[in-house]
Amino acid sequence: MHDGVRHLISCALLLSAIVVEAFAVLGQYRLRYSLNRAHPAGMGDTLAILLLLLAGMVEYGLSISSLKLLLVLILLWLTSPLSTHLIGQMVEITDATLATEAREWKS
Amino acid sequence: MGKNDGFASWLEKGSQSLDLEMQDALREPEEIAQQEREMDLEDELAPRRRPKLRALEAARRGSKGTVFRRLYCVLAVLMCMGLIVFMVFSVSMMPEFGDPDTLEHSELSSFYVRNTIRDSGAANIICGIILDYRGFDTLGESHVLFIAVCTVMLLLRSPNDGEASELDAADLEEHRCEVRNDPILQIIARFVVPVIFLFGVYVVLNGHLSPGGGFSGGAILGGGMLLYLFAYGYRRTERFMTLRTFRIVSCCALVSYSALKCYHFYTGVNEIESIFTRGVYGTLFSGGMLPLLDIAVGCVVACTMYAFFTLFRKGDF
Repeated sequence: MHDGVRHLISCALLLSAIVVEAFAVLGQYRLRYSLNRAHPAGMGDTLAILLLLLAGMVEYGLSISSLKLLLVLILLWLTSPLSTHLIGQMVEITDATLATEAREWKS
Repeated sequence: MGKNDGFASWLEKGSQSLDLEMQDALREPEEIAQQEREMDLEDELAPRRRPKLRALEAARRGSKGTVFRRLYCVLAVLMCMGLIVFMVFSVSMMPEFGDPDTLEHSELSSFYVRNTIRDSGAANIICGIILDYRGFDTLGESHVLFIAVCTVMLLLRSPNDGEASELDAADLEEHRCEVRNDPILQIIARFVVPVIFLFGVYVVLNGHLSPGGGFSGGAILGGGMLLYLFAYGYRRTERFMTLRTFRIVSCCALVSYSALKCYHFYTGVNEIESIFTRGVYGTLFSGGMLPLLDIAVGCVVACTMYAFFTLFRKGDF
């Protein structure tokens, strides 16, 4: 019984992770400008990964595997937003039409 | 004479247009953007399109281009679908994970599974195969990496004999400034780089016990070094990684790999007891010389990754 409930919670978390990731992918195709696309990318990088790894942790229970997943989560949360930040900075440096894009987007 | 005059004027015209292009290339990006914005204001019909893009689109709109593009899209989708079907089909043909009947059907796999632990003493059978049974192959692979770096060095290394021109100095300065001293990157790198190095060392040293080994561990170490380079710049990495270091580490690793392998073949053929004993199965000091070979391969791979990056980026270490 206890294991069944845990399995259900894990499945629910996994499904919500898939939904969030699907929205992130949808956003990649829907949004037109690169800096806007950083938003759904960041969503998939942080929230979807959190839900995914939580699902794994709930499934494994309190064990060494869960601690490893926690470590993976910490490392991914450190590095994924950082790479999004760096890509955004690179867009700012290299994209000569950024000002026009921003004006178009506002109007 | 007339012909010569024509040639001279043609030459002059050419150089003038070249000058114009050079001026175009030398202008600041903001200036270009400003000019393009002015052009957009003048052209009210299509304010969002750049002049060059407009010309491209006009060319693309030609009937031939459209047909080709449509065909290209259809063919691309079809090829991707075919590839997906093929891959899923081939995955379904593979034997089930942990299926005991698999071994009976393949003589080679059953030989490896039954004899690797006895022959090499490695808990990780794959490590036993690539460093023991196929140690010659791995030796060749390490040398291929080293030769690739040597070739890149021959082709790309900028002459650095003390008389570097001003252009080179400016170029170098530009590359140095390229690292933007991003505080976010630096703080995260301070935490993450030691973890990456630790993990890389772990993967290399545990190559004979768990999945991993010299190639993957070396790639992790190289990646850690590159992250450090991105965060802190060439001046900081030059403290521990120069051309001299690369030469010493790579050559020592390759020579020791070759020497160990020679010793291995010599003792094997003459049936002499090797000084590298198999040790206790599953512990760190087991598997004979496999951990040493893993370390050698890891050093070569890490140095190669770093060397490739710096040579392609800067033309030097």
